[in-house]
Amino acid sequence: MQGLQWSSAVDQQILLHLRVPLVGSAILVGACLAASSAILQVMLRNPLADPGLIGITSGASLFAAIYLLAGGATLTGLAAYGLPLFSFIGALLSTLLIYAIAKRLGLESGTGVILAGIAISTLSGGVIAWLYFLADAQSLRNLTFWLLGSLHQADLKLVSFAAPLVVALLIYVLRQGQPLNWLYFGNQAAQLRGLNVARYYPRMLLASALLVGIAVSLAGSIAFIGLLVPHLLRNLFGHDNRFVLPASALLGAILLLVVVAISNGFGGVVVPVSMLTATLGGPVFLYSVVRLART
Amino acid sequence: MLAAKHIQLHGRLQNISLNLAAGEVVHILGPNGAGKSSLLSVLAGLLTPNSGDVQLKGKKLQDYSLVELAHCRTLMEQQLHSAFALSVQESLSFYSQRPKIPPELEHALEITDFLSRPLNHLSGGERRRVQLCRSLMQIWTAIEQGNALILLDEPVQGLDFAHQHKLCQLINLLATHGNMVVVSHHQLNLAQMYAHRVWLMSSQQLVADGLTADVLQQETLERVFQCRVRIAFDSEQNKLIQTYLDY
Repeated sequence: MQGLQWSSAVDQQILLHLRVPLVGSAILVGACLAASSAILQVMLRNPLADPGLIGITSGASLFAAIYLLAGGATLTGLAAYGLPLFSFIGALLSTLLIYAIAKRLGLESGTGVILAGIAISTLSGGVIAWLYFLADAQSLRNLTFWLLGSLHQADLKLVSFAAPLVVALLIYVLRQGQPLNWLYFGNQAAQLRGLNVARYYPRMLLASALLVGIAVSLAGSIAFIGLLVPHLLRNLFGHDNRFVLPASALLGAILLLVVVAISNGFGGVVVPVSMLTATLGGPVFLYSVVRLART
Repeated sequence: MLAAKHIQLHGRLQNISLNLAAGEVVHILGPNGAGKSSLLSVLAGLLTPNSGDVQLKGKKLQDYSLVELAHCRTLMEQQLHSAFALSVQESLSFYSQRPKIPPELEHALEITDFLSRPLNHLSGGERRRVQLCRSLMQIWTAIEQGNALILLDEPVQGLDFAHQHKLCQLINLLATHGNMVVVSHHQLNLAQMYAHRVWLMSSQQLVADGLTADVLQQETLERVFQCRVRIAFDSEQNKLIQTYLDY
């Protein structure tokens, strides 16, 4: 009897401190990454755009790497939340920088953002490589783990802090289907349809960056979900963003939950998420591309 | 009523003044780079001139909200491309709330047959017909009320002969409801047959503005287009304009 009580208390602890944050992270991160990519692909007029390609994720990675190598991983208490905070700031700063460069080039939309994103991405990658080179063994492990992404990083506090932010942002962006539909034929077509593109563009870029920033600060850098989910949905169900945006958020969340379920099958070994998303996502993406070529 | 006064747009338009009455169809003609597309963009409110102003129904264009403009004027741009494989149906429905293509548009543009096909699988002319349909459906309510400003940048480019004429007839039909239409292109004979007035542009300026028969004169055309022009009449006294080069 006593044993049973003890085990249920432990179960409760496990549920509260392991399962809930894990499932919560999966839902939030999946929804954030897929929804932000669905938006970025239209705004950058590139069906292959994802937060990784245009440099938002790499800015976050760079800041996370600096934090980890400066010994941040050893901190406890409130200071332990330095990593998510740092990567969040990194995501936002790199977005601002990318936008500023693109604006300077006179190409705030599409190509300019992608070019600036690739530049920032390469630069961050270079610095991260140097940090790798200089890091000690433990920091190296932490860094590698972060760069491959993991849904086991966030605790209950962090997830419950991020959840209302994500919900508020999603409520805002999921209602942008109509104006995003107008952007399929470029900025001028959208403006002729009544959209103030000059104001709308930075606002949506910021919203996407916030979503990505939250996702990377919860789980590190997770590959492929962003590219795969909206691409698959558009390919199968058409391009109406009033459907694609909410469906992306939903499917992104579901997909990461599946990844969690599969990684649980590895019996206690924590598997890097990007490893699974890429392994699962690769074939699905290939199917989607072949299907597109056939039609 | 549309009126423009002393429009200047750096490097693109010089001191252009013009007006357009309800129910009028104006064709803009002129060599490449003369400023036809820039003028259409200014009249649409897409480009703001450095000086001068455009008034639509007595109100300055910049005093209209983008949404107000979106309901009463349309501009079909020359090139419209999407990186996504949108279907014809999608590209129409995203810009217009109408579930069906108005019969007048279907009669002239004939696009129902390829509604389900991806836009980027269509030929250039078919794609142009879809874009025309999209541009006109966007303000169809205003067109039905005779309140619309319709601006079309090279709409006949790529269209076969039958569709060129069907489009011009459609435009003239829409104008009879009171809509204002400005069309740019390079077909002197289409202008001759369908334009109420012609604006002739050259080197960023409006060099002639008048009734079609007055503007489409041999000397004027030869001077503006830098090529030889022959004007003849067939047995039914229809005016035919031919261009050629002396070599």
